[in-house]
Amino acid sequence: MQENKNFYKNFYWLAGLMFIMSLITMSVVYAVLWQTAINQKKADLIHIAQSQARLIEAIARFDMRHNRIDWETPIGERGPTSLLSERAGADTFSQIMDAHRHYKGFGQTGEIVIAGIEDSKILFLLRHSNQVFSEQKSVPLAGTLAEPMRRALSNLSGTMIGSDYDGTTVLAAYEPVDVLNLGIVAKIDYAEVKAPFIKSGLITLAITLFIILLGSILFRRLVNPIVQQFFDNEQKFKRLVENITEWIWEIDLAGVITYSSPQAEKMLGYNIQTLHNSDLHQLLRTEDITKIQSAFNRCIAKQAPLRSLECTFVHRDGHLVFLELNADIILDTDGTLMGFRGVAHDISERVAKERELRQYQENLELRVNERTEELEQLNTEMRHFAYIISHDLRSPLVSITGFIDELKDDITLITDCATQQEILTSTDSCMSEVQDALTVRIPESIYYINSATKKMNHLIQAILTISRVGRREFHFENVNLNQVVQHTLESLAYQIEQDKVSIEVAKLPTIMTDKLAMEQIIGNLLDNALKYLAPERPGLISISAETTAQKTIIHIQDNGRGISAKDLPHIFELFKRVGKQDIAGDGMGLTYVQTLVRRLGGKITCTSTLYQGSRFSFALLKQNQQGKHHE
Amino acid sequence: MNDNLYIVIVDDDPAHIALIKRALKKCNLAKNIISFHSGQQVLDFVYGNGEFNTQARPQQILILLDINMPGLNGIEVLKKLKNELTSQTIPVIMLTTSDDPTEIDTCLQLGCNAYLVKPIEQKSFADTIHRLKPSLTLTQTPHTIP
Repeated sequence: MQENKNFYKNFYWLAGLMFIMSLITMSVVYAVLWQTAINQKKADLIHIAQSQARLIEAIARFDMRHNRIDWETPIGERGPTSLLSERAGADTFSQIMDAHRHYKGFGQTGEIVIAGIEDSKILFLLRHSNQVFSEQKSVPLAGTLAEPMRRALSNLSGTMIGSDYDGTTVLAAYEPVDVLNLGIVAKIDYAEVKAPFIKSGLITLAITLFIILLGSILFRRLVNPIVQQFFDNEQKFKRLVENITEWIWEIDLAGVITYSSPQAEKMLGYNIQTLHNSDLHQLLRTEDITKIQSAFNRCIAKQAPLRSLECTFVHRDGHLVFLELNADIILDTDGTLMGFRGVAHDISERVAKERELRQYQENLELRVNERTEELEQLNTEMRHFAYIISHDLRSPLVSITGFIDELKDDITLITDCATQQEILTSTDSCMSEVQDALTVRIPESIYYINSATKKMNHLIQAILTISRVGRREFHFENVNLNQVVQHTLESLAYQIEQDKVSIEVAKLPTIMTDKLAMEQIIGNLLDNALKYLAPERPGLISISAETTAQKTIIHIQDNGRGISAKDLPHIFELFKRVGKQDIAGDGMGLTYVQTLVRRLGGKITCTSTLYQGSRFSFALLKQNQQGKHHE
Repeated sequence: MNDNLYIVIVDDDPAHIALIKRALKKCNLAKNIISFHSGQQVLDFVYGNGEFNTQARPQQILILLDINMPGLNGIEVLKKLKNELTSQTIPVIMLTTSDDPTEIDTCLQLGCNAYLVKPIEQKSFADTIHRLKPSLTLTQTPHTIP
């Protein structure tokens, strides 16, 4: 509201100024008018004085021609009473007096005065103010009173403002009257001349004052809402500028700050007074000065606004402040580039968060790498472990098998020998027990030990096979899957023909992979599909593929006996055989397939419905087809 | 039968040695059998180092070499034997439980004369021994004892 008051203060000053101006104008007008009126008045007075003087002279000359004027006696010496009756010239003068007796003068105070010199005094012969014609009056010749008459009697002609015989200030015209040696003065009170001017001046002044006052009030009435709105808007924008979190600034072409919103104090620690007229570049971190300069230059070159420039400023207390600048060029009315106006947004928090996030990411990456390394090492160790274990287990098994064989040979030897010697045929109960042991129980024991070791050997073999998948190095090449499928089907041709199985092969892609692994995977899956067909309906196996941007998926679908939902999760487990156990198998085909697919960086899944069929799908990532494989 | 032929069994498992000995007996080769439990021992024997530096090595030998042994394993022993001029002509039969193709490959590349997988199959064992035996007569004295 301070601005509002200021505005009205200025407004009152303006009104005052207007009044003074009017007053001056008025004074000048009045001065001119006054001068004109005075001159007019003077001319009138001169005209009266001169015409009277000439008239009196004319009458005097006429009287002189007819010897009616006493020329010898000076006027002063003739005496007051003798003038009219006794002296020559008195006749003349009495005529004039008579004429003036009926003249009322002019204006309120205007009068004609005629005087002569007598006894070093000015003797007034005629005054017709207040009609006092007869009463003679005299003033000293040397003095300040009756100055116009003094000049007339000194044979001067003109006008002046001076004191009359009463000491009243008058405007007077003076003129000598030659023949009679008299002086004539036409005068009017100076106050009377001034009076109308003073009166009209005062009236004009009052009217002017009134008009200015009225105008001011009206102006205020009319302007007040506009001013109020103007100030309200200004207040609104000011509040907006001052309360938003962004710092608003303007700089000239040299980078000197010409405006700064108060946010600068919060953001950078400098108050607005300090910032004003200081260089924007000095607030920046040294490394960022060229950055912002080139950004401004680009802005000028392209005549395009500056958008989202991240700059690092230095707070007054020294810490770094990250601001995002958006700016636009300022053009004056001629289109001349004046500078830049912009908004700065504090992104320190965001920058800190980003930094934290980056750090976190780096840490995470590091940890993932460490963990991956650990896992890879563990994996290698596990495979190595499986390999070692299977070898070490195999060694005693070999001993067992070997010695069992030896035992078998020896038992045979003993039995043969005993038979030959007919030892075993004796009726001795002890011997019959020996015979029973030799011919039945020991061979039976050997048989079971043998089958147990065979089974164990088989298991160890399986573990070895699986562990070897991880040891073999893949050779990546372009593999035509149609060819792989074709080769596999050829090797299974006998069984396919025997069981009258229909095989449908869609167009399959050529992918970058290990050919042997692909043959083993597809071979195992097709072999399984053939093995577990449902005997009650004609077999149908279809092979298809789908390709996405990232991977190739191969489907092998059959209409076989299917897998129950209970068993489905366990089909890839080692040595696990599910469903009816009527077909020979080692329980490791699918484990092997899964291990291969995984090593190729892929994934295998199975969907199945019991008695209806199964579908095995394995997906291989394309990026992993470029030679990267798991160790 | 060649009486000068010595068969050297290298195996860390005594049971396996016993079994190999029996198998050799069946091939009528029970006479000159020497057995070692580690790779280092056989190398010392071949090159006359360590405990063997005082005695002369038999001229004709055939080595039956296991792979998985503590210390020097069979592959390392084979490599050494086949790399040294004095020993590269000695026939070496790998006799091991491992049927890992990569291992078989490695051994064949290193120059083993045969690769047999345990348990011993008597017939192929006998065939292999007899196939490799004739070359023994050509074996030169590999070294003189210092």
